[in-house]
Amino acid sequence: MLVTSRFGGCRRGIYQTIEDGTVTVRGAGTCLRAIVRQGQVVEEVRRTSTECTTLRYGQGQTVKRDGKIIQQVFYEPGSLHAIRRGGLWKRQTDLTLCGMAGTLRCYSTRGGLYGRETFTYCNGVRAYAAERGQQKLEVRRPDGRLWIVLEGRMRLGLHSMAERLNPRPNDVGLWWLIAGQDLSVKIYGPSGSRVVTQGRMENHQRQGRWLENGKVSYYLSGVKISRTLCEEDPDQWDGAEVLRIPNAQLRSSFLNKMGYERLLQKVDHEVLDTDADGSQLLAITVLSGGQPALTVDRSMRLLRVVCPSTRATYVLRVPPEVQSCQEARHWTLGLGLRSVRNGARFDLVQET
Amino acid sequence: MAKREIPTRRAFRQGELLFLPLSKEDYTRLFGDRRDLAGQGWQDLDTNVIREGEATGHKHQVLTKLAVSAALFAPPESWMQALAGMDRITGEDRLLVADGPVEIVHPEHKPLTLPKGIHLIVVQREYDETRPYHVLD
Repeated sequence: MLVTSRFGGCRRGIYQTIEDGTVTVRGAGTCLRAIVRQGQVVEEVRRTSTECTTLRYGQGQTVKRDGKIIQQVFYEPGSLHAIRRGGLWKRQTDLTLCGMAGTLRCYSTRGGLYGRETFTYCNGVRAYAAERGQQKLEVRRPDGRLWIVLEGRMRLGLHSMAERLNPRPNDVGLWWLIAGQDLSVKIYGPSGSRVVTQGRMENHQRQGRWLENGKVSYYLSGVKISRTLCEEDPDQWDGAEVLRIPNAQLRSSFLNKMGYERLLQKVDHEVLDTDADGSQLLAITVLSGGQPALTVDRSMRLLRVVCPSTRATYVLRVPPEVQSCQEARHWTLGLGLRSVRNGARFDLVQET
Repeated sequence: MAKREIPTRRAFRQGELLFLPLSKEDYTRLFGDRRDLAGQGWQDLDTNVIREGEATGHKHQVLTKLAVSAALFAPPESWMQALAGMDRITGEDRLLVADGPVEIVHPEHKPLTLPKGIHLIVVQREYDETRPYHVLD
C-alpha cells in the first residue's frame, strides 16, 4: 500500500510505502482505517458519527448504523469484491419505498450476474419482485395497491430498483430505472385505479405524448415541445428554420425526426467528406430572406456523427474552413485546426 | 517549411466529454511547478457531477470506490493556458484529480473507467459564428 498526499504544501507531503500494518486517517467526523497485509489492503473500516462500514476483500461489506446492521453485501471467495454467485448477495434494511421502510434482497445467478431482487415492506406486503430479462414489472404501494407498471425489458444492476425509485420522488427516478432501450411507464394515483403519469421512453428519453401528474406534455427525445410540433408532419418543416434552432439537442431531435434525407431535399447541400465511422461532413448554404445574412456564414459546415453508445445521430456545426470529417471531429474535441492539419490526433482508448 | 511534429494524444471519451490524462509535461505547461490548483484560481467544485444535460437533466458523474478520492476543479475565467496543439481551456472544461481508478457514469452511456491521475475534461464544442475562435490563417 502506498500512502500519498495531494496539495499538502511545501515539505508537508506524505509518500510512504506500507507492507504490513494499519493506516488510520482521521478527518472531520470521519475515520478511515485500512489493514495492510503483504502490501495489500485486506480490510477497510470507515466510521462516521452514525455509521460504520467494514469492507473485507473477498468476503463482504457490512454497514452498521447506530450499532445495527443495515446492509450486508457478500463477495465471491477468491475475488476482491465480485458479488457472490448463485444466491443472496445483498440484504438491505434501511431503504424506504413509497414512504415505508422495508427489506431489499438481491440474488445473483450461478454465473454471477444480477438475477433477481425483491423488496418487502415492513408490514409484510411485497412491493415488487424483479427478475433479469422480465418484460413487465409491477410495483405496489404499502397497502397492496398498484403504484407503478413498467413494460419493457428490465435490467437489474448494482443499484437496486428500490434505490433507483427513491432519490427523485417527483419523477420516481425514471432515468435510473430505464436501462433498456424502450420502456412504457404507467404510474397510478393513491387509489390504485387512476393513472396520473403515463408515457413512453425511447433511447432513455421521453418520447411522444406524456401524461404527467394529470397534465399532458409532448416530448421529442427528452425535450418538451408543443403539441403542434409533436404531431405535425416533418414534411411541413422548413429545413433552414430547423438548422437555426439554438438548442443543440432539440435541433438534433428535429433533424433526427425530420430525417437527413428529407433535410437534404429541403436545403441545398453538398457532402464534402465521409468517414469510415459513418460521420459525414456536409456543406449547406444558408440564406436569410433571399440574401446571405451578414451575421451568418454563407457556407455552413455540419458534421453528422453517430454516438457509439446510443447509436443516435447528432449534427454539430463546425468552422467553415473545415475540409474533412477527421478535421471536423478533432476540432469539436478541442484540437486547433492548425494542429489537426499538422498531424495532431487523439488516440481514443475507450469511447462510450 | 517542414510541419512541426505533434504527438498523438491518448484520450477517453464519453458522449460529449473527452478525458485527457495529463502527462508531467502537460501539467507543467498548464501550471508550472505549482501543486495547489486552488492557489491558481481553480475552484474545487465539491461535487461529483461533471456536467448536466441542459434539456434532459442527465448527468455525467464520477463514481469512486472506498479509499479512492477524486476532486473536480473548474478553471478561473481568466485562464488562458492551453495544452500543446489544442485551443485554450474554456470555462466549461474541468480538471479531474483522482488518486485511484474512477468510473464515469451517465444514464445514456456505458460506464467509462479512467486510470488514476489528473485528467483534463474537454467538452465537445460546436462552432458558433457569433463567438470568436482561432481562425486558421
